[in-house]
Amino acid sequence: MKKSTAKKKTEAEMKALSLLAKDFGSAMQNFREFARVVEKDDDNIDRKVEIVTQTCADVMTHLQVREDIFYPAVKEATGDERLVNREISGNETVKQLIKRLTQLEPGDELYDATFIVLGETVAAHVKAEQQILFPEARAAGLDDADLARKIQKREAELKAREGIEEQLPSLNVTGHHSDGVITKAGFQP
Amino acid sequence: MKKSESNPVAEERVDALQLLQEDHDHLLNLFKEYKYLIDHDDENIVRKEQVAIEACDLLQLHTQLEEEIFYPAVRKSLNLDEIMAESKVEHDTAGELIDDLRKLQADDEIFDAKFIVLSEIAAMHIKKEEAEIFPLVRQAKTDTIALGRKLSLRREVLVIGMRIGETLQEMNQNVKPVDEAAGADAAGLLPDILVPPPGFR
Repeated sequence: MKKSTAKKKTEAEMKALSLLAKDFGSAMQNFREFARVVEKDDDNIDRKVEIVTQTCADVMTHLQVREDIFYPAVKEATGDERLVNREISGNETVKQLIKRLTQLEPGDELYDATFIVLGETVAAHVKAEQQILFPEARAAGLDDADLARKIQKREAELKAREGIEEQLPSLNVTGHHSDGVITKAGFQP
Repeated sequence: MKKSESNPVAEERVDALQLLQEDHDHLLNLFKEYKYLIDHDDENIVRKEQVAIEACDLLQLHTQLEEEIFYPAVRKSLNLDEIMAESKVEHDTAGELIDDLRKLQADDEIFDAKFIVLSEIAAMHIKKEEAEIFPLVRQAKTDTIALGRKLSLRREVLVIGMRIGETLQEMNQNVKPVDEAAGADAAGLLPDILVPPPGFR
């Protein structure tokens, strides 16, 4: 995370899609490090919690930036609502996993597994985004520095809130509109 | 569900891995067909709904079988705790998506989105299971025939249970309007076992 200040200069001139293409980079690194910590099996719970907390906050920020800035831009430029709906559904699944992590004790037998699955889900989601959404966005002329600036501005605002706890209210995973909202309370056998 | 019904318990040798593999292939085919429908025949809501229901039913049945019988059996003989825990998380994630889907109409604007996400997660899980768990089970010389028999027996029970559940739900649904407007056509009360599960409508 510290690297970002040193890189600011180049990022300012970066286009929107190149910016989005690399913003999950440090999260992906963290997922790999977590796997190494688990493999070592010395049960370094503090380190694990540190990685999980940092990564979840990081991932939440990137999802939020997309939902606040990028998707609306794509929707407006392409008129393709389905494309964006799909991304939002994918984001919801990621958020659900993060929410579950925040509810688990680090010693829980599903704690490691949930984080590992989160890593795989994010990786698949990012890949799908680059294969399907980005080409459409590029074709619609969205890959410009102007959108990149908006994305960076929003990201800075979100990061200023710092910490996953601050972002928890947005973890209510409310879905796209009031129909078909996922409420955990509404469990049906 | 057609395929599972034709899976006779009486059949002599059912290999557990083969049985699970068949489910996987069946599921992946359903996902493929759904994708094809979105790309080529998007107005065919009826078929899309059929595919989605079939996939969700099969996924639920399949994950339950794995959790009740397959995982406990192989977990004991192989040291697979980590992979099993991941499988559990993936099953839960898929289960949540299925719950969401069952509350939506097939022509709802986010139905496709949800189903695609479900299919991606399921495909990811299937790939991992076949690459990481199946080879270990084969190596460990687990009695997959005995395990296969257990799986098919349990599957029969679950399929029957599912059908009874559907029928009961259907009856409840049909009873309500009669309560509201007494004297309504009594013929509507007869449950039709063959109708798709409610929730999808």
